[in-house]
Parts: sequence; C-alpha cells; structure tokens
Amino acid sequence: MDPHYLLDLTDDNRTVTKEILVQFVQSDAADRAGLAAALQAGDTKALNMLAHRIKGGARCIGALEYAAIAEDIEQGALRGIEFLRGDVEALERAGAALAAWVSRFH
Amino acid sequence: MHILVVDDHDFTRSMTVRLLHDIGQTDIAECRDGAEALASARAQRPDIVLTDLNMPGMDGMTFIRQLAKQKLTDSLIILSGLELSVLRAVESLAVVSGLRVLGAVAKPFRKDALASMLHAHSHPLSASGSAGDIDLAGLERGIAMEEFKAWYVPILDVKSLRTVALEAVPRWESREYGTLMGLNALAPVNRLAAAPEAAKQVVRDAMLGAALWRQMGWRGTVIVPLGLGALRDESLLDWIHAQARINGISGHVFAIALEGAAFTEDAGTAAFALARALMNEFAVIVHLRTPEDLAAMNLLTASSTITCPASWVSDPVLLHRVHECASRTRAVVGVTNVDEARLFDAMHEARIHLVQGTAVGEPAGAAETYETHLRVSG
Repeated sequence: MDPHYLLDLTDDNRTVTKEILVQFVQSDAADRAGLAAALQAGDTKALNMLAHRIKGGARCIGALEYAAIAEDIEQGALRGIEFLRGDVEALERAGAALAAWVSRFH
Repeated sequence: MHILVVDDHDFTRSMTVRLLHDIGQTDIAECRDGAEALASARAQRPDIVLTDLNMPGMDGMTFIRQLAKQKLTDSLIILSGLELSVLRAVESLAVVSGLRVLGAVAKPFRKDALASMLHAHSHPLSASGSAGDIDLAGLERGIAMEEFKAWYVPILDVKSLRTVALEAVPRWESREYGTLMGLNALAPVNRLAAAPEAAKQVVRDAMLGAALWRQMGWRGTVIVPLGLGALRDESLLDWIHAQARINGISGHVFAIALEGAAFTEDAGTAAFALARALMNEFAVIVHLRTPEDLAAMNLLTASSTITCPASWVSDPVLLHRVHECASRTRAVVGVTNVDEARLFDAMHEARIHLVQGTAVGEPAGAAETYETHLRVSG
C-alpha cells in the first residue's frame, strides 16, 4: 500500500490520512463480510455488487493492487461462482494485511 | 453553488464530499440512491449532480434520464470506474436529454480534476483559451500519453433526417483528470507547442473510424475540427492528406472544420489552412459562432459548408449575410445545436440543408440516439 496518493490528497496531513484509512478499513471489513456471505449463499449478483464497492473504496484511497483483486471477483462473478472461491480468499488475506498496515500507520 | 452527490457506498460518497470541501464547496447534499436523490433534487434544484452509475435500485442511467426529464439540474459529473465506451454512451444519453456533462472521473479521484469540472460549470461560455484550473504540464503529459480521442456529433440532412456526417470533436481521456470535454478543458491545448500532436491523435482516431464505417457500408463524411494552435504547424494538412491515403480515404469522406473566429484572430494561418485543405481535396466546413465571425468571412473565397447558430435563422439580416457568403463560396448552409425535429420545416424554408446536433458519443450510437431523439421530440 502506497500512502502517497492519500497524503497528497490531504496535503500531507497524517492525522486526516489516518482518519480516512480507519474509515476505509471499517467500511471494507463490512463489505468483505458481505462478500463472504454472498459466496456462501452462491449469490453472484451480490458478489458482483459487493466486489464493485470494495474496488471503488480501495481505489479511493489509492490501494490499487487490492482494488485489482476485487475487480477480478467483480468480473468473475459474471462467469460463475466456481471461479471465485480462491479470489475471495485472496481478497480476505489482502484486506487483513491492509487493515494491519493501517493500524501501524501514524 | 449547490451540489448533490449520489453514491450508494458510504465511504466513497464521504470521500467525494471531502474532496469537494477541500476545493472550497460547502453547499453539498448527499444521497444513497437514485430515488432519494430525485426527491432531494426536486426540493433543492442542485446546480451540479455528481453521480455513480452502478447503484442498487434505480441505476445511474435511469436516474440521469429522470433528472433530465424533470429538468432538475443543468450539469452532471459522472463518478465511475466503468469502461469508457459505457461512459460515452451515458454521456450521449445525458446530452441528448438536455444535460450538460462536465466530465467523468474515475477513482482514485483528483482534486484538480473535480475543480476543473466545477470551473467548466461556472464558466460555460469562456472560449478565450485561458488555462483556468487546467495544469498545462498535465496537458502535455496527456498529449505524450496519446490521450486525445475523437468523439462524435451527428450532422443530419434536413429533408431526410439521415446522418450524413459525423464531426469528430476532441476529448481528452485523461488518466489523471478523467474525461474532459468542452472549450474550458480543451482550449488551453491550442496554446501549447504540442497542439498539432493532440490534433494528430484525434485525426488518427477519426480516420480509423472513417475507414471502418466505410467498410461497413456507411457513406457519410467524417469531419475533424482543427484549431489555430494546430494549424500553425504548416505541415499538418499535408500529414493528414498522407494519412488519408494510407487509410484509403478520399477527401470526400474526410473533411476539415475551421472556426470562423480563426479568420479574425489569425487570418493568414486560417487562409493558408483553407487553401491547403482544398488543394488536398478535403471538404472544408467553416463554423460561424458570432456576428463578428461573419465580418471576417469576406476573406473566405471557397468552402464546402458554412454553419451558423440555429438562432440566426430567426434573424433575417444575419441569415441573409450567411446565404450571401454561401453563394459566393458555393457552400451548403447548416446550423448548429438543433435538438428538435419540428424546427426542421423552418430550417428548410430558410434554405438550410444541414443541421448539427449536440449529441456526443460513439459514432454509431451518437447518430442513432440522436435520430431517435429527433423523431420522438418532433
């Protein structure tokens, strides 16, 4: 995760940057929980929509690699559930790593 | 300025609002979906609506149609990471519906991109070439990255309502700023030394399109407008001629559009460009925008088409002068910015042969959407 996009956006204000990152982590955790539930339920429409939201949120903070994983799920959801399990697990790991990084950011 | 932000995702919506605050906007309303946003717009009449396209319930396109139908705002900014082809189709829909699309921004958003679009809303008629909030270094990077593309405005035959030409208007599909359009965003290009290169990118794009549609059986003309900044490169028209040959395109299929104001601002360059274009067998269209442009038309000795604003049709003096100029130069007369089929009878009586719409988008889509729109509105 490269914080420069957000720091640039906040004029190098690390307090505001942290505040935005924390908001993102909370929102993203809820979306990922929804994604896992949608996978469990085999709801491809919800998977597509939630992955799109996660992608959008991640791009907003400049987490482009994380957004790319979400985009794979968004596209994959249109092809079928069987392609998605690995991607959702990868997103879960990446999301947890991102949250850990945010907790260390000061 | 009252701004309405519509996005179903709380975090991305709050980020958009934060950016708007950062660039000095304080009168902002937020909504989570299209239905809520329509109610808010009815109550508060926002100057600008920023909307996502991908929303549950009422999707972004339906929301935009309703906004236009109920005349709830003038200007729109699309917040989306969708494919450019989709964005173009949405822009086409919005413009045909009477909304002004200030631009489309992809995430991650940039403050300067949003600021430029808001500036375009506040200064819609500025064609001075002022750089405004556009970062000239950014423009140069955009040119280096070949981000200038052709979008299309249909031109219709008054009698048949068929699309006989498509004018390729330049759009800057910027990775940094989003898709920028309109004079405020693009006029600064003409001040850059790299302006001919930006023009070449649009020409290349349009020629590929012209060759393709020719193969598909469309027999219309593709028109590329060239500004003074580009025309100051005296080799540009020869380069276009060479490209046309490479693509197997004759001058009857490809045309050059010049602004009438160019003849006032730099008559030498404009006259040279006109002569060079005609020598290379390109049709030439001259767009007249103001009565001052008409004064400069004494310099015009030949042209294929002259266009004037539709409002001139009701001014007998101006219309007479346009016809006089057309008769001298053997040009066909057209008018710009016509959106209602019922006006076509008046155009016909005024000896107007072509009308130019305001729809913008993918070539086939723009023409089809516009023709359908005219049939409905007529």
